[in-house]
Amino acid sequence: MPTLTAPELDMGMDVSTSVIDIPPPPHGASPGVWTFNVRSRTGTQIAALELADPGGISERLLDWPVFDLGYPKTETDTLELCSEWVVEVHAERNGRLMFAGPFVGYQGSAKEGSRRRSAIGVLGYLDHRVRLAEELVVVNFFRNPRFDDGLEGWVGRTPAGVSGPPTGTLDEDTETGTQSVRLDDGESIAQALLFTAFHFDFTLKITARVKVDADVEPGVFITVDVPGVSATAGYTSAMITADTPRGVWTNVECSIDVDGTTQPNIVIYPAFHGLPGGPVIVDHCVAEITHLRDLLADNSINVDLPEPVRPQLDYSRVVSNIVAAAGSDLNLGISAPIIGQLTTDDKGAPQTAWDALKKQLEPGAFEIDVVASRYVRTLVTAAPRIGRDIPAEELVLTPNVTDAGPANCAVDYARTITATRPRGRVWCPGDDGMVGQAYDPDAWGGFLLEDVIPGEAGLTLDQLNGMARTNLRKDSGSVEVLVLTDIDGDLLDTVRNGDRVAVSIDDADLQLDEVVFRVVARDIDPVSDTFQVTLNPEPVP
Amino acid sequence: MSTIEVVHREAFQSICGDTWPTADLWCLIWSETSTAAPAVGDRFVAALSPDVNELVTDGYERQPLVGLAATWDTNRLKYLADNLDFGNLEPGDSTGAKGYSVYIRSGDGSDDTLNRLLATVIFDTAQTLDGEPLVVAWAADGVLTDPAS
Repeated sequence: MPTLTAPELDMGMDVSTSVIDIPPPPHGASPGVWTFNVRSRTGTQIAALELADPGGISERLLDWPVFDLGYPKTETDTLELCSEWVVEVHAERNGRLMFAGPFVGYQGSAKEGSRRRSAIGVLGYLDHRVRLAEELVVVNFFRNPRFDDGLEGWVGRTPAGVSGPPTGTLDEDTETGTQSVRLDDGESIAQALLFTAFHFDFTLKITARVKVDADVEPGVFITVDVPGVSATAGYTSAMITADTPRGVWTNVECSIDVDGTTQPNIVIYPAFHGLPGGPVIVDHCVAEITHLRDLLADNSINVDLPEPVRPQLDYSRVVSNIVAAAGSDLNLGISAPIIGQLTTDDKGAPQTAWDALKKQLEPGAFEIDVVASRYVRTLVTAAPRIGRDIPAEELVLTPNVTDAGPANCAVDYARTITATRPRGRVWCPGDDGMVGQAYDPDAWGGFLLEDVIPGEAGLTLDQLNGMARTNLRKDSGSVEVLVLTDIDGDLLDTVRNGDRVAVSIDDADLQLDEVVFRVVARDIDPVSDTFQVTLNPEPVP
Repeated sequence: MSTIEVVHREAFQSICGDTWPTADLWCLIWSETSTAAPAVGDRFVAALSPDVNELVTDGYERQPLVGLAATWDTNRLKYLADNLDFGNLEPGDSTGAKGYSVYIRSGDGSDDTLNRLLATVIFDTAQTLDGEPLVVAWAADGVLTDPAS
């Protein structure tokens, strides 16, 4: 029988090659020629908005842009095509896409000759797609399953069912986590799993990822028992046999059917036992309910899950899941290189994809942007931040009100410093007494000004530190804000949100000589083909 | 030449634990004379020229993947499916099967410029058609796996 035996295909292997194919922008065309079109989400042309009276395009870092335009109300055929959420408006400068997103608003009156139509960027779709709790299917009911916190949460349990302190020892030989547990003959680790108010039958699968020493003798490695006082008594076990691979990581697993209908509280005791002859190294353990997705979908039963220990994923995988699950009809792809920072994919309750994404952004481990052409839109992530460092040899933003050099762009500047919420040191308390912090000893003349920002539940210490670092400068009420206005539109493809760019200003008390700022917002005016940038000080403290 | 294994970029952009179980996934077979050279950036089936590279013989039809499930196992998501049986195929215009592609079907699947590639494998030697069932047997970890980190 001819058989094509498929190899193992690992999606992680091509992540680093994931790049976005966007044609380079045209340069040197001045003044810029702006065009506006109504198109489908996949770029199909619907109508050209040749009579558009464009308003501004407002872009904010880590948020979706907004745009509005006016159109003569007598052009009824064209206006009827501009359905909210159904079609998109695309604004292009010299053929380069500058804005794409759905119409979301309409404004008009009898005395006005045109209708104002507003639109938001494609990221806005994510605020209208909801993530459900479906992936709870991967809930692991063990606490501290990878032994990241040592043996916390684990006890010992003899084959006869006598509990005591855990007798395994921590080991450095590990496949996934930071630590493992070594079980020699007679040693054991176990946990009591409490299921409350289930009232239905379910199957619990217990898996251990183990490395078995060559001399370990066959015997019972996993025992799972359900005492009769809490449910119909049950027992199962899994053996390490002569055929179990030695010296490599392998799975040992077993399943048990639990009668959950008889008692309100069910206690299940999975235990892992050392065997004669040599050590068994346990990398991690998983306790999961099979077919949990089906159970959750059954409205006739009340699923009250115990506090789960969810598996941790790389940030990039969580973001990929969020965007991919939002739906392919959005025509929004994802390019998220793995960054090595783990997080919890928090999907305990329905939430919008945008809210889920913002939660991941909050600790400041990475940032997002959208790279778009007419047909392809891709959400990209960058760790720790998007944007590039624009060399001073390439560009120094210099308003022409100064004599610091030739004015190359800005007509004017506006500088504001409002110190109502100063943050020279930020503390971010999290779970279990962990506290992240960031400190800039030079801020505010060395005078210590502190603030506390609570961290989200489940954040690691690294994430809390990142969150503190981000907020040290994020609050515009506590940092310097510099706005440069009327910059030539030719620089739109050079100075982007997130970029770090040098600024020189020589005007009375304001003396800046190639001081680096970061672009946190752009406001584009297609009519004058100019834009203004809002800048925050760099570097990040 | 050794086996070519490609996970197309579309897989990374479209597949996750939420989408796999309900995705409209199909599999096609490349003939023994196929010169298809899959690359990560190939987005659609048409990029691999199925008109000249796909298996051609009586009874051959592209097959949908069934038994789709995404499970969390050992620090990775496994995207599972049942093995595929393309039926008892005799040699025809093609005499052997050299590889396969898995793709997301668009609409009725008739337009390969819209069917999005997920993974392609081209083996160094072809399996000769002999009238017995032609089977694609997935690896123990499934059609694709997605590591946690």
